[in-house]
Amino acid sequence: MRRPVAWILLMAAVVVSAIVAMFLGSATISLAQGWSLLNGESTAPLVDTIVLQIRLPRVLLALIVGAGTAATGAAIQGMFRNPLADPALIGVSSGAALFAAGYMVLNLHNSAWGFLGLAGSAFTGGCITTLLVLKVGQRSGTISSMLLAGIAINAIALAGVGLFSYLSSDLQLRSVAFWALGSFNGADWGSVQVALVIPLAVLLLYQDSQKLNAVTLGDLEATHLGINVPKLRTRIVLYTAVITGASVALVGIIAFIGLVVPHLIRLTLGSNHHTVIPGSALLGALLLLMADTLGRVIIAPAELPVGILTALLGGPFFIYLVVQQKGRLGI
Amino acid sequence: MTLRAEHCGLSYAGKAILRDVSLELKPGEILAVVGPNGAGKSSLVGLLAGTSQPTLGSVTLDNQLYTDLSLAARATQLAVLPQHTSLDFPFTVDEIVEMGRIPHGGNARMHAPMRTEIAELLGLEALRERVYTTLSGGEKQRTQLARVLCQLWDGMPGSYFLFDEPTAALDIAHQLAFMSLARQLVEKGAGVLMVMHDINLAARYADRLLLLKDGEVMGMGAPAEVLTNERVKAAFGVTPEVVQLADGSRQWLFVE
Repeated sequence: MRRPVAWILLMAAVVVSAIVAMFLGSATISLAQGWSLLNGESTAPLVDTIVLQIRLPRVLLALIVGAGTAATGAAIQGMFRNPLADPALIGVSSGAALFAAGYMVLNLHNSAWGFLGLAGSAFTGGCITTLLVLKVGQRSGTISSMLLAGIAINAIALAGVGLFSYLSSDLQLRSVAFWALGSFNGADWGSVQVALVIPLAVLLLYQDSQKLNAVTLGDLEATHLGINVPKLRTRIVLYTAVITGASVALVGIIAFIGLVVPHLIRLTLGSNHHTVIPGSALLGALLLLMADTLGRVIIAPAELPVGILTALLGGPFFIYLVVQQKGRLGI
Repeated sequence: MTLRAEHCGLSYAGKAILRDVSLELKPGEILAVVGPNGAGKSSLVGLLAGTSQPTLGSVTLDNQLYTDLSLAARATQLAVLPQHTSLDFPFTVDEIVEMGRIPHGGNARMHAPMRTEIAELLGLEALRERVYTTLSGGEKQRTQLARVLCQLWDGMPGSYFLFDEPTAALDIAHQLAFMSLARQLVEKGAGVLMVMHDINLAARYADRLLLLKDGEVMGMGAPAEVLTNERVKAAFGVTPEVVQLADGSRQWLFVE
């Protein structure tokens, strides 16, 4: 596909699905009501509330988290030099969830730190797990052992989340289970405000696009091209932990978006990170919003947590990619 | 202007990899490093490239220690081809060659003529839009060579190229083409050091040879002086027959 066409299609799809998502849900909103709302005319008060206070922030949050998750997936894959790395797969998300769950169970979120403390502990958990996986990888030297270590760390962190839910009261249990599933149920304007750190971190990731390109050749090769690889690695880990930590604190673990989306972009638009990072951000935003909208609609008035849907849809698709791309994924 | 190693030693986990190695690489010459497997050739390249620090002695680029030189500044004067580069992302050949310009900044369009020129020299014209991961071993190696050449293409005088087994995956025609390309680099004022396995090819094109064995320099100098019967036997454990051309200008080693 010609590049400009692909970009325009992607952007148009994001806008269209955002508009569609505002109208869909357990409460139906007619086109006429939507139109008058857009024109600033007052409609039924309930419609105002549903669209402006519930659906709009939820749509924005899905877009932001989707963009961040996919962009950080692209950057992590570049830095690990492996198209199969992903913050959820190598344990960054579950590390963040573990710390968030611990924070909740220890009842710290009722302290003065409140939500910021929750986001901060998710960020800390994300940082620690990413560094751990990187260290193991450097020690063993091979990429596949690093991925395997990531999988083990992921399992340990999830066991920790399980332990916390075992220890938690019934009330806490619901919120802890929420981290493991991923859901936009609690989205409001407050969470959108917190989520604004995500696009900022994505911009910073984008700044390192060229250096990420060089690192895909290898650490030595990048060093010979004048790049301070340890510093670059620290920055990417930090941005990843910010994006993943904020996402997990806000909506829980979202699987497969960070893994599959960059892959799709590389297949269609090439591997240059100048393309892959913004392209993944757009496609990730689109897919996560579509998944969340689907989750709101299929069993309405109840809803399916979006993390379940992304795993259900992303998992088989990923298996298809592995089989179809046999020998080209480099593991 | 010299890339210089003085009495360099390198140890790893208590084991000496290189012992008391001294060499000078000057602009305008090809220095080929030969020696058996495990002699420390790639370690020597790493030392000269500044990616490993000598445990003894010092390495200087134009009288500056690497510790006093920023990575970015070094990359505008020194380009390195490692022995093996693995890449699992579907970049195009042209995108990889363009990465050689990273130390200089600027955009891809600016360097397009340079990439075309280099692609022609390495026989990559038809492959430029191909995806790297689908190439053959030799094509991959030529792509990496093109990237390394691109890095210093417009600043040849006073710059240095270190190639670790640049011809390992190339067929005979491409080997010869690369060696004469190395000669062109030198004529433009660059200094070239390359690790080679084909001692005849090395002897034919290099100004000087360095014979390395067990981390020590067994001989350095004009190819004919270094590659004596005794030294080759001591280094590689094979007995060669040295054949001189009638006019004495060239010698060839036959090994049976």
